Amino acid sequence: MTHQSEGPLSAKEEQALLESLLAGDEEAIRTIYGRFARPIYSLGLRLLGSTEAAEELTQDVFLTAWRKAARFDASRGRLSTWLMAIAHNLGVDRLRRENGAARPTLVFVEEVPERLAEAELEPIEERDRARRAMASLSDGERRLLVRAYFEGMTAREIAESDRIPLGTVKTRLRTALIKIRRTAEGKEL
Amino acid sequence: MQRSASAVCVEIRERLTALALSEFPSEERAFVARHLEWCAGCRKEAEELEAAAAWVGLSAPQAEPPAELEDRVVRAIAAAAETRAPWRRRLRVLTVATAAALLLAVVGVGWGAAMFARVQSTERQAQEAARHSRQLVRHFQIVLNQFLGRQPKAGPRDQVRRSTLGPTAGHEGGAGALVFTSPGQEDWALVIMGGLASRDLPYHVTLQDRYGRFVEVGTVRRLSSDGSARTFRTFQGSLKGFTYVLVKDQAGRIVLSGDLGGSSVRVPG
Repeated sequence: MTHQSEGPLSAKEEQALLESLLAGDEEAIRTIYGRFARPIYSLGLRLLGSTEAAEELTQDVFLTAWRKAARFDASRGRLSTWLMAIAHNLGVDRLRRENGAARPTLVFVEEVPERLAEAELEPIEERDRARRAMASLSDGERRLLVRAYFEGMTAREIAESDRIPLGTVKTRLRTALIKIRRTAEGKEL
Repeated sequence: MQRSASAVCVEIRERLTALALSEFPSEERAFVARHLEWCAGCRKEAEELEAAAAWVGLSAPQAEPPAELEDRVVRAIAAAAETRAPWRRRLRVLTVATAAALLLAVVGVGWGAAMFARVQSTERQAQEAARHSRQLVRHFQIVLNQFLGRQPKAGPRDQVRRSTLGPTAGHEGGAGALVFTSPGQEDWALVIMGGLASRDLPYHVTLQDRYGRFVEVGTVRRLSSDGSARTFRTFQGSLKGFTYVLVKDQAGRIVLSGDLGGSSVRVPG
């Protein structure tokens, strides 16, 4: 049974949740899963291109979160940021390991029908903010971030592919990241 | 020749975007992470870029994972917890004092290593650094044993965070800090310093949170004959949100700084 969201968690609640996760509390595992499994699984689909790989990644992310739960510090950042960073690191590592092998058929997540429960208001709101922030970028910035984040391309690979200087790619990526964060968190330039 | 702290920061900051986008293999991530443990400026930038990257991830259309995946995740964690259980049971028989003694040894060794790196130009200086390190460990043990001998056993949510403080640019010395937080007991902080210049006395030792709020641990008005000092304080309020340890000189300049955030250790009960 998935535990649905009941509004945003405070930093204190997120910290307590991770402490319960560390203790192996099943309720805490299910609560965190209920809140964050969708974006993690979806990221796995985008990065790795198959439902099997996305499921494995999702499981690995929650196992890693349990192992590292003592390191989570809510005063430093949100739980979603922490979990997405774990997911992206694991996903990109796997992508690189499998480099050379044919990538599985890409699943276009946009084509997957969404089944959102009414109670999942927080994820919707959070995703809406994220999408608006992405929409605030120029087409070029957005394409760049999509290649770096969702396709796991390094700045060097992008530079070589587009035949532009590496320094330019790095600067544009950094600028785009700062812009998206400021927009998403209501700190527009 | 050693590079200055700011030169290292410039090098690290050039890598932070790549870090946020998972470009680095895990070994290189660990290298940057070590720097971020003690450098608050670089860490703040890293956290902001990491948050930005997470927003990119959250912007994607989302798909529903298969219904049975949740139970698989729960079972996987339960199985992993089961294999870790014997170690955890062994840990529980340790007292707070034993755990803290282990931690302080790590702090002391870390500080000694930091000093060694700074003064490796001559063997005599290296020996001096090692001697200071041993002295610090002894100081830690004496103070902790005195204090912890009077403490009740740790609860399940008790936690000791440790930090190795390094000197800021233009200053010398080092320190180790332990901060104990507990929902059921008084929180406390212990900071032991070495290698400080007596001309800049008194030194003020504070803990600071990410919003710039601070609490004072103590004031050091004199150094012992070996140049070391220690300060200790218990607190009625919680120290949980305090993540930085700072030692300032009489002019208010930060001479030593360290971070408690990246090295929390649960105290076995």
